[in-house]
Amino acid sequence: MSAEDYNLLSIDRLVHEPARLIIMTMLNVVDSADFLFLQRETGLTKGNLSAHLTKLEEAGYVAIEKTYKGKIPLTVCRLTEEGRKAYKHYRTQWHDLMSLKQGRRGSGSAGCVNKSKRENREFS
Amino acid sequence: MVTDLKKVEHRTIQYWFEDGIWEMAFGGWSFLLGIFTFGFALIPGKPFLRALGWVGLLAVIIICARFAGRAVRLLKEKWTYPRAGFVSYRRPGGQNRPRRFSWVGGLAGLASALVYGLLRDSFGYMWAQAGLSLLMALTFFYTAIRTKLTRFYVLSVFLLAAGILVTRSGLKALSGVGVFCCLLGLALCASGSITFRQFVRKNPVLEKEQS
Repeated sequence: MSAEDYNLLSIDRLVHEPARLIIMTMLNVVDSADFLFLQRETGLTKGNLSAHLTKLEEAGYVAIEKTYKGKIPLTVCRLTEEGRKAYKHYRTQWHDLMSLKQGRRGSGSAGCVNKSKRENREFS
Repeated sequence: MVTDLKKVEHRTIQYWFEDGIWEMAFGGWSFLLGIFTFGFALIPGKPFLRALGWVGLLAVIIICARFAGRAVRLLKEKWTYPRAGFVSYRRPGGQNRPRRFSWVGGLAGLASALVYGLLRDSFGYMWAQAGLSLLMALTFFYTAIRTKLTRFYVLSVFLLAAGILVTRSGLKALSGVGVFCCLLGLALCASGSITFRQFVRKNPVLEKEQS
């Protein structure tokens, strides 16, 4: 097993899942956001979003506060300090992994490098 | 589903400007300030009246800025959050801090030079207007870079053009600044109201309860 494989294995899978990654990216930019905003921006269904948020809450990455605004329930989500650290760590790991991959492909054909750069741009 | 994380970040930042309410509030404030400044320029040169005018100008700036912030929050609570969801932004820090400080420092320097020029009238008439328009154009250009919203690029170009026109019109410093502030206010109100109309049409109020 190569060093690159080890890096890949150590990536936080809870954050790596695309829907949760998008949720965490949004929450990382803001202080807090409600369920409606997250649902509108991610395009997930209520059930799906709720399931992902529950997983992130169980991991201690997201804090969920359920309040009322008048008679309408309001679910406000925010990234915890632990969640911010995990997200930052994930982004660094992913960036390093892509750089390593690019470096390896650099010795190969130029087409591979371009593809790798594209992949890196999409995720970093 | 979007997979480009930079895009996700930008969209989240853009959300604050998506409804145009901020522009309308800032535009209204600028327009009021412009009218006051223009009126102030018409006051005869008696020291007491001038001093009273400066105090009034400062009061208008501070009170309107405070009310504009509150009005934005109230309008967003009434129109934006029920349609597209609630978001509270945190203050940027960490890696962005040096860049923010350099921008804010640069803008503060320009503003100070402008105020100094207005007080001493040592820059000549045209520099006060040119300085203000450059300052505002730079602010909107920076906002456009941050949010990646095309209308802010258009606004920054418009403000630069308006500044050049007002400067070349030969108006006196304060009258010119007043006219420029009115133009800025009108442009922002127009841009904000168009954006707001589009936002309301695109996002009807959701009757269903949240999860």
